[in-house]
Amino acid sequence: MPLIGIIPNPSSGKDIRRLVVDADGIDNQHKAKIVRRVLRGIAATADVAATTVAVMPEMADIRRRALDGLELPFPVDVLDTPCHGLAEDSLAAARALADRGAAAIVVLGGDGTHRMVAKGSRDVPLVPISTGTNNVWPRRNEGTLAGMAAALVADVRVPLEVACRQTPRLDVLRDGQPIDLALVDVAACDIPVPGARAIWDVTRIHQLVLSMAQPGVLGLSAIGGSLPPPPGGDRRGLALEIGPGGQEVMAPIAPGLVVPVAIRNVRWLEPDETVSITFRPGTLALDGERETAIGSNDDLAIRLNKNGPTMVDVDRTLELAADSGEFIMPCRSPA
Amino acid sequence: MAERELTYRGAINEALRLEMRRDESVFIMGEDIAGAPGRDDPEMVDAWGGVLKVTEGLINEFGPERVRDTPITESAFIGAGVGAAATGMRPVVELMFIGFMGVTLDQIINQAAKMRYMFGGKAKIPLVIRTTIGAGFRAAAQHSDATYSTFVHFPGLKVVAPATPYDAKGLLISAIRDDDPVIFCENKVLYDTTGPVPEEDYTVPLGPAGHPRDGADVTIVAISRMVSISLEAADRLAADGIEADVVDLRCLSPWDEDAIIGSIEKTGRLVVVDEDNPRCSMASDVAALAASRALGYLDAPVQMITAPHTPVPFSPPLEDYYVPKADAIVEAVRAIT
Amino acid sequence: MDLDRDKLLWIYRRMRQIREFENRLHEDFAAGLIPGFVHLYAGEEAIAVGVCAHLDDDDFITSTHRGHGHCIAKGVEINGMMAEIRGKASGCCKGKGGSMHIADVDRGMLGANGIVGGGPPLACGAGLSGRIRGSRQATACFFGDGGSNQGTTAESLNLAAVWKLPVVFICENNRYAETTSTDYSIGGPDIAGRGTAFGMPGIVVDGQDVFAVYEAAGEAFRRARDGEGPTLLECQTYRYFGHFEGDEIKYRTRDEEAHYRERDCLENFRSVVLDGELLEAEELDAIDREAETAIVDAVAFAESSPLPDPAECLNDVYVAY
Repeated sequence: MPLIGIIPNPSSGKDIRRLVVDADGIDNQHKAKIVRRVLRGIAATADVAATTVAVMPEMADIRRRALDGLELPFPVDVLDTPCHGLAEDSLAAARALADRGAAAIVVLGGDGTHRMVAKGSRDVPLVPISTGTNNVWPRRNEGTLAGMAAALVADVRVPLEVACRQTPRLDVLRDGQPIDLALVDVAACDIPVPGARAIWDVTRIHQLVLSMAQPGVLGLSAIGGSLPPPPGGDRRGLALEIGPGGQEVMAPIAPGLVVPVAIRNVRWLEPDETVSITFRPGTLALDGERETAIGSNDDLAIRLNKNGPTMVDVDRTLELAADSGEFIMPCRSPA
Repeated sequence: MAERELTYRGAINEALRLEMRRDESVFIMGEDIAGAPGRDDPEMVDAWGGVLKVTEGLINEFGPERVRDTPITESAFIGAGVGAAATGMRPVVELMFIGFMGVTLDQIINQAAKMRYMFGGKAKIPLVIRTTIGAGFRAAAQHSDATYSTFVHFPGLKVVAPATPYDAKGLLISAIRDDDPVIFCENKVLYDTTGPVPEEDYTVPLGPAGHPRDGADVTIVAISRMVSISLEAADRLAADGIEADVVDLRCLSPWDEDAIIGSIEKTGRLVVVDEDNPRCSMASDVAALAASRALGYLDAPVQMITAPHTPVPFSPPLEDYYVPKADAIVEAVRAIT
Repeated sequence: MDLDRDKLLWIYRRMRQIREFENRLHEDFAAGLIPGFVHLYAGEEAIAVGVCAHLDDDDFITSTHRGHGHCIAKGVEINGMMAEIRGKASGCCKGKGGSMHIADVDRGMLGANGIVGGGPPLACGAGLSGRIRGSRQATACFFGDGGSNQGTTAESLNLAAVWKLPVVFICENNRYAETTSTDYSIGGPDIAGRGTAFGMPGIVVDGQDVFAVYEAAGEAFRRARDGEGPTLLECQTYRYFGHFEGDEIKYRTRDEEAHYRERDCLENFRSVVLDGELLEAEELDAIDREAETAIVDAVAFAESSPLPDPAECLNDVYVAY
């Protein structure tokens, strides 16, 4: 009986970057509408008799607003997980969904939200919908289509090995032991406290480790994305020392903020390669958010891990389903 | 002093202009007090000059920072006046019609009126709220009240209602220089009336009543537009040999108890003429004053000539019926003399 | 964002003073020593302090019925506050205002306010005042999730945006307006989003984290002083005690309360500055002792002060009448 999870982060798209750069606010009413479209997409596509949907509880009660007046042919439960308005709520919800054997999790958030979900979701495929400030990992998927794709994946009506792909991640190691992870970037900066968390001043960054370095994305990974790929090699993980003494690139590191970034040293990474954090004291930012202090005696390192979370490619999924006639009326329904 | 005839409207405009010239902390704001805010077209500047043109021309001299058109947001801009007054400015805020006080009353009665007291005397709120009162414009119930008594009720507020151009200028200058919040009530029917007004700045103090007519037979206490109607009645009574002593209660809070009592001592008879509704009104307040402090001098019951206890109606014959008239005053006086 | 040692110590000292002040009032109210209504700020200290850390005496704040924290953060003397709350002649308002109306206009504290939504229009006026004078004065306008639903607040957000006033609106969303939860009372699920709706940036801030508040407020005041207009900060927080003292708090769970106490702003401050090697534990301990002493002294001052002469009732209505 497929279970589809929905994790809408009520806090995504509302941080200080609305003040310091040109980010726009993502309203929770907007997120409720997206969730409503996800639910309609699932309802139109899934084997409804067998489907259950479970939504993370959160302070804005996006689930209730999404369901307002909506009649659905399956239950939409609320997870029995903490509702404290903290990033950890998303982690707990992801973990609970993985424990219940969820077949897919639709996530509404930015890089930070997806990072928290990935910490708990294990190998459950994630259907990302970007409602954050920087959205490198989550793509700009439309809710209805994301819901349809989630249902197709949950019902295994598309070949999962084609519809989904595994993404890399960065493990944060303290004394050699993993303590945290990031999906896209880890930055060592000289801002003394986590505070408002976001980073928008690249001069405060001294070391940067990226799990991917694609052009065409916004955020710290754009610094890597602005470099040419290694000779004869793929774009992959990258370790950068930031500061004068080397080359300079233009990079879109936040909404409306395209700035020159001085790069002292570039090192392309192979899977399982480890980078020591040598800068101290300061804070370590994971996926663009300052998280933990770097103490003067801390032994911290970052490891590129190719076994990161599984992402559902919504476009590919719908294409596969169309190719195999899944949308020919009357809809085929798995037995 | 150089003196010339000026309208009541012009006298108020002149008071604002002189005070803004004299003191940089004075500024004015309100809805459409210039008009067309934000438009660059010089033809549009001062599109209205105030809904009844009282503030016309001021923006040309003082600019849009100090002649500040507001959105229609009475709570916010009246409250902003209170906040600006508490922090070193002397705002003169226009509340277009006194009926709109319902929208913004909290900022007047709970903030402006009480701040000084609540803070142990450590705040001062030199705020003037100019507003219009009075029936006669066929403007119906929400744009025609004369409900100044509402504000008189609240300690911490001062309330003024001039009847003449001379008093309008002098009282407004006093109100602006005063360190307490003042509700300045302008009767819109009086805007086109004229009278002698000196060109210089001068003040009429907040408190003392005016005394436009001396007489020994009956005291008529009148407010705002009712002063001229009472004087008209007094002229008719004089023809019958009854001399009315007319007291212009131009300041409602503080008020001039001694002028009222002194007149009653002299005449033994009291008629109060008030365009407001009768219950809990200035008229009943004056009657209560007479009862508590001058009963021994009264030879006859106090007469209250007021609007009826109804909202102001729209249709001309209805509205005309609503406003107290000289006939009623004459009749009331005759009934007690 | 940078924080020097003095600022860090200032922040901790003010937060600790507020906590001690409120905890003491909680005890003294239960002991029957305090007349009237008292609304305590304990739990929300990071907001008042993180905001007021950016203000000088000639900047302004408007406050709420839960105003003690704002007062202390803005520099109002705690002896005068304690005496005021006890109704003494030596109170900062001579015993005429009490807990809900503590003010110190000379320090730019324009009064705690018993009217929910009463402050925002005043804040617009304070902002306008500095603006017309051409100064760089800024105004902080504190209100709650309850106040966010008042028309005055909506009007003020709009007016401040229209005039680009140097006002920072700080919504202290402690999840309950009296007994009513925000789940019930907030129609659109965002308070921060209302800023955007009125034409200013609106952001969500962790109100339990003084560094998050400090950093966001710093940017908001920079915008205000540079003429870029107002900002709305929705600081998510929690009050430790009831709406007022005597409230049995039947409308929320003990688990929820325990969760927020685990995220206490003072404890959070300690762990951040100690992890980040910014201050020493001994320095913080010394501030704790100093705050305890200051509150004991304030109570002693209040208790030894005379009650007002009853005839004092008649003074201070007008400057002159």
